Formats: sequence, C-alpha cells, structure tokens
Amino acid sequence: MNNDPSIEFINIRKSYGTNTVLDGLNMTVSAREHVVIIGPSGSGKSTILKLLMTLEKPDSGEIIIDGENLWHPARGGQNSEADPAHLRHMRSKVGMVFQHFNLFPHLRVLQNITEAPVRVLAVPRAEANQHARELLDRVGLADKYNAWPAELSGGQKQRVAIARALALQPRIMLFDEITSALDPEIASQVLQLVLDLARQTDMTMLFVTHQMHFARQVADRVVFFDQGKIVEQGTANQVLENPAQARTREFLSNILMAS
Amino acid sequence: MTWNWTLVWHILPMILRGTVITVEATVLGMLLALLLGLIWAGLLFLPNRFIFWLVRLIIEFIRDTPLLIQLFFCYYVLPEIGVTIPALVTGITVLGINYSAYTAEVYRAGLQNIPVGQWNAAKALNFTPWQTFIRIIVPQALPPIVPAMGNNLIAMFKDTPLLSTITVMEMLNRAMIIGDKSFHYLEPLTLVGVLFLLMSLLASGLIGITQRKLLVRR
Ligand SMILES: Nc1ncnc2c1ncn2[C@@H]1O[C@H](COP(=O)(O)OP(=O)(O)OP(=O)(O)O)[C@@H](O)[C@H]1O
Ligand SMILES: [Mg+2]
Repeated sequence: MNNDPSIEFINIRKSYGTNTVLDGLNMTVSAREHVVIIGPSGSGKSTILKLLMTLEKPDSGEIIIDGENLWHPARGGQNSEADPAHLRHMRSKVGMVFQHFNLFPHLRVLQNITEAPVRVLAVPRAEANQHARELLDRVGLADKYNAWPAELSGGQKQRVAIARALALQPRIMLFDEITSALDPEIASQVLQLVLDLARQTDMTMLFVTHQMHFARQVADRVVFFDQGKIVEQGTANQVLENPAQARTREFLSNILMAS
Repeated sequence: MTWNWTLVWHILPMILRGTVITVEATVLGMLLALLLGLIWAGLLFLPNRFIFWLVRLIIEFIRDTPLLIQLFFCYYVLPEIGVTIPALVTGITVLGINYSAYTAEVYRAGLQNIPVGQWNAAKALNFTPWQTFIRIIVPQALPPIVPAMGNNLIAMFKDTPLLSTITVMEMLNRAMIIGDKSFHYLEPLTLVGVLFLLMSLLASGLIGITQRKLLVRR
C-alpha cells in the first residue's frame, strides 16, 4: 500500500450546542487504506463520516481530501472559504452508504442508480443505464432493475444503495453501519459483498461498524473512538485481540455480550 | 313565487358564459397559487434568516387581511398610482397570491415530512440544491398533499363570486344582473348555486382519483 494521505483531519472540533462531539480530532487515512472505526454509541463515529461528506461542517480545524482543503481551498496562495463549485468538486471524490439505505422511493431501482450520473456527471442516459445494469449484476440484483424500492427487502435495498454510490466512481467510500438495520443472516451477505468490493477496488474506505468479524477481515487499521477522541488504533489484531487500553477492553466485552 | 323553466332556459347560455370565466379564474388562479406557494415554501427552506422572516411576513400579511380588501385595493387603489390592470387579470392575480399563502403552508408540511436521509443521500450523490429540490424532494412531497391542495382549489372556486365586486362577469355577477333586470332572482341564483355544487363535486371526484393514481404507482 502506498502511503499518500487520502484524508487528513487536522484538529477538528465539532459541537452540537453544548455537546462537544469531536474535540480536536487528528487522523490521517492513506490512499487505498481500509479503516474501521469502532466505538460506543454517541462517540462521534457518524459525525466523522458526515464531515467528510459535507453533511456537517466542522466548527474549527481543517479537513484535507486528496491534498485539497475541503472548506478552505487554497486560492492565490491564500486559503479562502469554499464556494458551492469547490464543494461539489470535493464531493465528487467521496461516496457514502447509509444505515437506512435512503433510496429514492419515487424512482425505480435503475433510475435510483442512474439519476446522479445523468444529472451530475452528464453521462448519456443509455451509457448510464448500461453501467447501472453492470453494477446491479455486481451486487447480485441484475433482475431487479425495474422494481420500486418499496418492493425490495432491506438487504436488497442496501445492495442498490451500494450500487448507487459506486455509479459515481468515487475514490473514497464511506459506510456508516450499513447492516445494523438488517437481520444477521442478510447482514452477513451484504458484508460479504462489501468485503469482495473492498478487495477488488483500490478505493479508500472508511467503515463504521459493530460487526467485529467483518472488521477483522476488511480492516487495514481499526480505530477505537470514545468521547470524540481516538483511544487506540492499530491493526485488527492489535486493537481487537490485544487491546492496550482498559477502555477498549471494556467496550469490546460489551459488544461481545450484546451479540 | 313559482319556478319558471322558460326563464331558466332563456338565461342558461348567459350564465354558462359566466361559468367559463369562473373556471378560468379558478384554474389560472390556482396555477399561480401552486407556483407561488412552492416558491415561498422553497425560500423558507433556504438557510437564510432574512429571507425566512421576509417570506413569513408576506404570508402572514396575506392571510391576515380579507381577500375582498385585497381585491378592492388592487382594482381601485392601484389605478390611483397609475397601475391599471383589467378586472379579470386583477382577480386572478389576487386570488393566486392570496391562496399562495395557504398552498405554501401545505407544501411546507409536505416537505417537512421528507426524511432528512433523503436530503443527505442527494447531497452525497452531489446533486445541486435545485436538483435535489426538484428531482428528489418535491416528487416525494407532492402525492401526500394532493387532498389538501384539492381543498384549496375548491375553496378558491367558491371564492370566485367575490370577483363580481370588481366587475368581473363571472356567474354570480351575471345572475345578479339578470335578477335586477327581470326582477326574478330565484332562477338565476339557484342555477348558479347548482352549478357551483356540481362542479365542486366533480372536482372532489377528480382529486380523489388523482390521489389514488399517485399512490398506486409505488
Ligand atoms: N444533528 C444533530 N443535532 C444535535 N446533536 C447531534 C446531531 N447529530 C449527532 N448529534 C449528537 O452528537 C453525538 C455524536 O453523534 P454520532 O451520530 O456521531 O454518534 P455515533 O458514534 O455515530 O453513534 P451511534 O453508534 O449511535 O451511531 C451524539 O451525542 C448525538 O446525539
Ligand atoms: Mg452513527
């Protein structure tokens, strides 16, 4: 793996009202690295992904993606405020899959996938359809292109959502607890799909998950997060099997009891 | 007082010409209300405090003043400052603006019912705010609000007789003219009432069908 930084969080602070979620977060993710973020509920895991997707804006600090500053792009030797064009340029590098799928219920499966390539990237409709059919095939839903989202099971919805994110060919993919709304058996099938995907592509990937088995298989690095701070990080083996911090051990044993 | 069928047949064509104007005012007024209301509702969703309060103020102002005064103001006062607009155009515009305050409210409720996840997904897929609004949010928000919009349509329809006060030759105005000339008010007014009833029922039916069509699609 080469070590060009793909994502850098520099001293990121983020609060909601008086609730400080991220308190000076520093974290670097290398290009093509697969990082799994674990931690208790409310610790700020989703917030990290939302910040990368510009669904939230940090109160202070810098986010660098592919060498470009997300909110303060360099212009004429100075850092300026990001304008909509810059944010769209930055968003084109990142894709996201959500816990609750968030498919567009008024569009059929195929159009859920093609709408963004056609409208955002101006891909010709026929070409976008072709690509979408290939992606559906890849996620194991080749025959569902004409279905409405409401006609799909949860697992199928999430597969479509994955295909939809892939259609824009982002270099960075974010997965926020993508199987926690699914039955265990369905969840493991979806995770297997994502695992295959992770092995076949050279995208940088960030996962928030409570599935430790999946984390072990997919992670180049596991980051344990608590109260807006990194408590411990390392390989899956280090963090999940031989955690150095008491807080990590406590969290892992709680997870084990819950599952 | 006896019911005179001969008179009914005699005045029917004239009343029906008024019906055309009533329907025209309703349809065009509602189109304006639907468009303007959507603009208000869209502006209320922008993250801009000034625009938000300005639009709120406009909507409150429209809702808290009588439609009749708005009509009189635009028809009788505006010419004094040099703005003269034909009666029917004035009527349609005032109806449209007036009802936009109510359609805006319906839109707003419809838009607020769209889960935040839809906005997030649209942003993650890099749609522009405008594309998000028009292609993702509005198509989902519309079907559930069809009944409420239908109620507004029928309410506006029943408000069109007010246009007679600014000389628009809609149904009621014609009925009153006939009454004044013939001293028979029973037949023209009954005829107009029945026509309103029939068309309201027809509109309700169509709205119901529209909504069922929209819901069945998913
Ligand atoms: N839009 C918001 N407004 C107010 N508070 C929020 C908002 N989003 C998140 N929070 C708060 O920020 C904190 C971190 O939230 P976040 O969603 O990042 O946690 P998480 O680690 O993903 O938790 P979970 O495992 O439950 O998903 C929580 O205390 C949450 O209540
Ligand atoms: Mg979360």
